[in-house]
Amino acid sequence: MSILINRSTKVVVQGITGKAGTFFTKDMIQYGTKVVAGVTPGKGGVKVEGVPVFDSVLEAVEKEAAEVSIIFIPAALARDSILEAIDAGIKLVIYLGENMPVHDMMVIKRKLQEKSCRMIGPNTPGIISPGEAKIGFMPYFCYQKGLVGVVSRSGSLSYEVSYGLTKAGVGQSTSIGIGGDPVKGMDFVDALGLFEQDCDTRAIVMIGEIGGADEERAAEFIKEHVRKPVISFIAGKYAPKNKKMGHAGAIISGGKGTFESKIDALKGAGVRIAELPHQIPGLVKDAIGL
Amino acid sequence: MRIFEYQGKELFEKYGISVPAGQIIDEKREIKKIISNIDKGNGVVLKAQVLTGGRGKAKGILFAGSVAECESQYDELINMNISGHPVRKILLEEKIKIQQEYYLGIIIDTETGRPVVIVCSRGGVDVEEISKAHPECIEKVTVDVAYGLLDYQVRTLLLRLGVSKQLLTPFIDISKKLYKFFMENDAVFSEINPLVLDAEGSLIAADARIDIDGSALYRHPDIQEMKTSYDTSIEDTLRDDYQLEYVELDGNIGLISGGAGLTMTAMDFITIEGGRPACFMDCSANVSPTGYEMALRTLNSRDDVDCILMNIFGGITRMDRVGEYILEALKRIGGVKKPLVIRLEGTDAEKGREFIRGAGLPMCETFEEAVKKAVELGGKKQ
Repeated sequence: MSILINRSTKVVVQGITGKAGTFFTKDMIQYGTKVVAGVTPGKGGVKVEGVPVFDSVLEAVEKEAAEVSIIFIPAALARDSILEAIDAGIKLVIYLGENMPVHDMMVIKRKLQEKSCRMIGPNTPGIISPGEAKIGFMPYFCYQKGLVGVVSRSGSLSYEVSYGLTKAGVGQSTSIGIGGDPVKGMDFVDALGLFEQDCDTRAIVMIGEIGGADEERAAEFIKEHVRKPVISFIAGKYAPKNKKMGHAGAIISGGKGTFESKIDALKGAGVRIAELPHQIPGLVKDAIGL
Repeated sequence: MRIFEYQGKELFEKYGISVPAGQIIDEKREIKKIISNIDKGNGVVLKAQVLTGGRGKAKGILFAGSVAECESQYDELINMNISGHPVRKILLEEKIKIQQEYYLGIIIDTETGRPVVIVCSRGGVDVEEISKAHPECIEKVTVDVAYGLLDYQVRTLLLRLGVSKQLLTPFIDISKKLYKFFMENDAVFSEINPLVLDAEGSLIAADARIDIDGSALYRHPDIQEMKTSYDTSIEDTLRDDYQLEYVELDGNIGLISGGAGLTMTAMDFITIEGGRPACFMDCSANVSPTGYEMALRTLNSRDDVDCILMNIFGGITRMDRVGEYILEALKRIGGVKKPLVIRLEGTDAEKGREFIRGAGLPMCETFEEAVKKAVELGGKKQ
């Protein structure tokens, strides 16, 4: 089993006729992802990699029952496409791109709440349920099907950690990159809740980094709601501390965001801490008795 | 992108937010004329324009009662250094007669993804410190972007802070103007500290601290233009012209990596092994011969760098290409004088490694091996 996506999840690719859209449609289909439709306004009627293209997301939902959308549109134009997907009744929107204006994300987040829709991204490799489906551009060889749920803010680090797990014979149920932007769709808490509910996930690896308060909130949630073992690595222990946002930001997070604050919160919630990524497979094996 | 106080005040004026009469001193001999234009009999203030906090404490703000005094203070301030920022511009303003000082700021709460308006009944001080020592002086309200900032929201928090009733209407007005500015200009934060109630009972923005979202600058050409007046550092140049995220550190192991998380992890790893990273360098946004060339050139030219560690894990990036790009970059530079430690992993990594080995350069198999090798070359911390 897995969370959010599996081999029968019906996917629509927005921006399918663009270079990246076409390339990753092929890549995802090869992996086994069920891509049922593409959308490029004005190009409805053509096919890309055998996938029918429509003029709107609504058509893709009505005619092909698309449930999840992945969007390959430049950040400057992405807001409209994401809002279109949410309004069309898509249940999970995935946006991988970087440099999404934060004010656009504020509007999108408002719409997500209104329509009870989930979003992964921006600034993420996406999501993969190994052996089932991948919706994103992570390299498939880093992953293998198994019992560990992985959730990460950093994309590059999630490859490194998943590859380490795979090489150590520890497979993954699902790996989600929630992305590194300050305002984003799903966060650690959302992913932890889903992994806790998933009957085939036996342990959760959470990869965080300094800044923000995501990890502190996750620790609160773990304390109350997560019974499965959680193993965590936080990047940035030795990063310079003066690179931070303004005073007002520090008020909102209440002095949270430092490496020490995150580690203290996580330890307090019973999370096992890896000092470096290569210690993660061993900690996972210990936790679930592999 | 941070903008200077004087630039922020120009923008504020467009939104009907009152600011003190003032002008940038382009040349010292203009001081007399500027003072005759702006001084209303209270004297003037000279404010060093730097993009850093703690300006008051660093004596970057000086008061003057005469032209002669102002000229000598100009000499004191110009080219002064405030926490590493040289003073290139000085704003000359009328001195405001202060009745009361407040703080008004808008930031984004990352958890809810909504703007938060913050008011503090004490202005002109470090708000972070006030929030710890006197939390009762601070009130904040989260704004639903669908409705915008509503009068009652501001009124409620002002009443909680004990702001006098005759001040409610002008305070709500300036808060809504600042909110409009914030939303229309893609601000990440905008602060008025202090917001001054002057002797005549008007609210005046005595300072402007503004950060505009760099990802949204394309829709604000007027603000983008303000960038030309920056002091550009090597970090700015690499970011703006080559999409390389570079932060200079004081160690001796040059680090070239991809992805912020992995780069920070490499820094942690180097430090845990006893070494000292010379930088944070994330090349993931410009995987090309030029990207690696600029990264290598930057580190190769630093006398304090003893070796260069390249740790690249390619996801969508094919590592055979990365191998070729690195070799092309080295060819363009004419080779680097520092020892190189390279580790490549990812899609088609073996081909990439073959290219590197073929050029006579050593390869490391794992992240651990590469870090240990680099620390050995760089020498451990004393």
